[in-house]
Amino acid sequence: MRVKRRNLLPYVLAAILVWLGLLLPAEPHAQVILEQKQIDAIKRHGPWPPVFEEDPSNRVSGSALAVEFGRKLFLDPSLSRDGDVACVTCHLPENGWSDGRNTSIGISQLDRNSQSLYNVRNNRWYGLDGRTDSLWAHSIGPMLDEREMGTSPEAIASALAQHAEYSRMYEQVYGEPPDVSDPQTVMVNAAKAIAAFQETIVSWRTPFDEFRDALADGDMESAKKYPQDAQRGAEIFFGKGNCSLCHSGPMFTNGEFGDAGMRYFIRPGEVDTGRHGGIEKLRASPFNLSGKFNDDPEQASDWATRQVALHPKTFGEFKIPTLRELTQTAPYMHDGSLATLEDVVRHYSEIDEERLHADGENILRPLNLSEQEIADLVAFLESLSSF
Amino acid sequence: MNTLTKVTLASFALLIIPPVSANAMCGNGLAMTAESETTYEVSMDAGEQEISTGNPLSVDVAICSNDDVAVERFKLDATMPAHGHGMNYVPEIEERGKNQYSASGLFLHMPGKWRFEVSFSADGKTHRFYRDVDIE
Repeated sequence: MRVKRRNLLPYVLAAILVWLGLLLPAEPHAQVILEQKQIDAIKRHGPWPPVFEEDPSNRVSGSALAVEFGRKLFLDPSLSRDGDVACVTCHLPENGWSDGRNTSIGISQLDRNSQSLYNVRNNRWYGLDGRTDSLWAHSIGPMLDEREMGTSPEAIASALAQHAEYSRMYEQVYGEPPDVSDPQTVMVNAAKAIAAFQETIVSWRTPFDEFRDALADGDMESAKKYPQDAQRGAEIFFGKGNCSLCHSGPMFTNGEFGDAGMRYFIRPGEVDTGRHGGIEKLRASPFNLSGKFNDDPEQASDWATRQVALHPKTFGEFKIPTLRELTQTAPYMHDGSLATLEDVVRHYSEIDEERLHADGENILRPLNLSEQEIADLVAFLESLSSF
Repeated sequence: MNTLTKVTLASFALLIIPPVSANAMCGNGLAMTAESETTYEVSMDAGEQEISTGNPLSVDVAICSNDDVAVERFKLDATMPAHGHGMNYVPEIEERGKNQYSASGLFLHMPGKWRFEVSFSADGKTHRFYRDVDIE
């Protein structure tokens, strides 16, 4: 039988396509065990690092002179009441800019764990209770706290005015020497320089970031290099664990607060009120973004301060922390009561539902993870650190 | 066609064509669902903004009625029914015209299903509307 030439063409083309298909690499997702929905969620946790944006509430944000002035003040204990406590006392670079203690020690013993300063500029709220709404305002708190540095606006203004180098740097940054007759402004300006320095503390790229970017680029050959245990951990983190609901975005936090079922009591008869007390302190502070020290001419940056709600459920809530560089910042939780990442994962795996707020997060339930799943989730969390 | 026939046909046409509902004319945004029977229609419009987590959101709300009634005690909120909580912020409400409102500072802090809820008083009753939005 004679077959017309034009009828052969589809068969030839099909054969060529099949042959080409054999030469092409396998299905791109074959080497990555995650589902597309989880891959999409992972993509939303980057890219890293974020683009630097100046803080509109701090007119010296991003100024190199302010960064250097702030760095010196950050390291200097002479600004404290007794001359032996500086910012760096509780925020050590070698401890991931925290201090490695369960709860910190300033002039005296404190009640909470020191928070890492990595990527601190990217927060909406500062402090475990969110008592401040800017990095510069939060830098004032430890200076004035009797248990931390125990100093005063007058003492700070006087110290800066009498210190030749600090007085010169202050004038370079602010255009005039420290005015001891206006100590509050001098203290705020010192805090804004310290904030400018802290804005430069940014964590490095991590194995997770390489994985995330490879997925975003469709580069499955690179993506499959991400360890299998970390991938299994990611399945839990972005799946049944629901961890990514709170630990979302490139910072691995939504910047808000939650009740993680930790203890309320600091000591017998004394409770840490957490976010509830933080909102009360925020509203009472003359240094919040609705006040006169906000340098933002449009005052748009104070929307959250004006509109934050003092719900009853905020009692005992604490800041949802970033998960970046976790391996450097043990111990964990607001009271530093969990020593290792494995302890943290076990805490969520066995969380005490009776302890949680009745009007809190409904989806927080014991995960009942197997030993293998715990190890996998820890492997994933470790991949969020650069070393 | 005589006049009687024209009038008869026009009458039939009026019967066939449904009256224009308030909903068809109510704003350009997403129609909201009434929780119970009501003569009012409500829509919410986020304009060019993407409804997403991590950024404060503003929405315009239009309330429509075939009657010339001004509503009172307008409220807008957003909650996560499956999670048992709402926003951590109280939206600021501004009246932009008769039965037209804008709400700013809505902050959806978590991915998942959010329910936008509107309530207002009119005709001696409280009217409630909602619209569910899934956020990744």
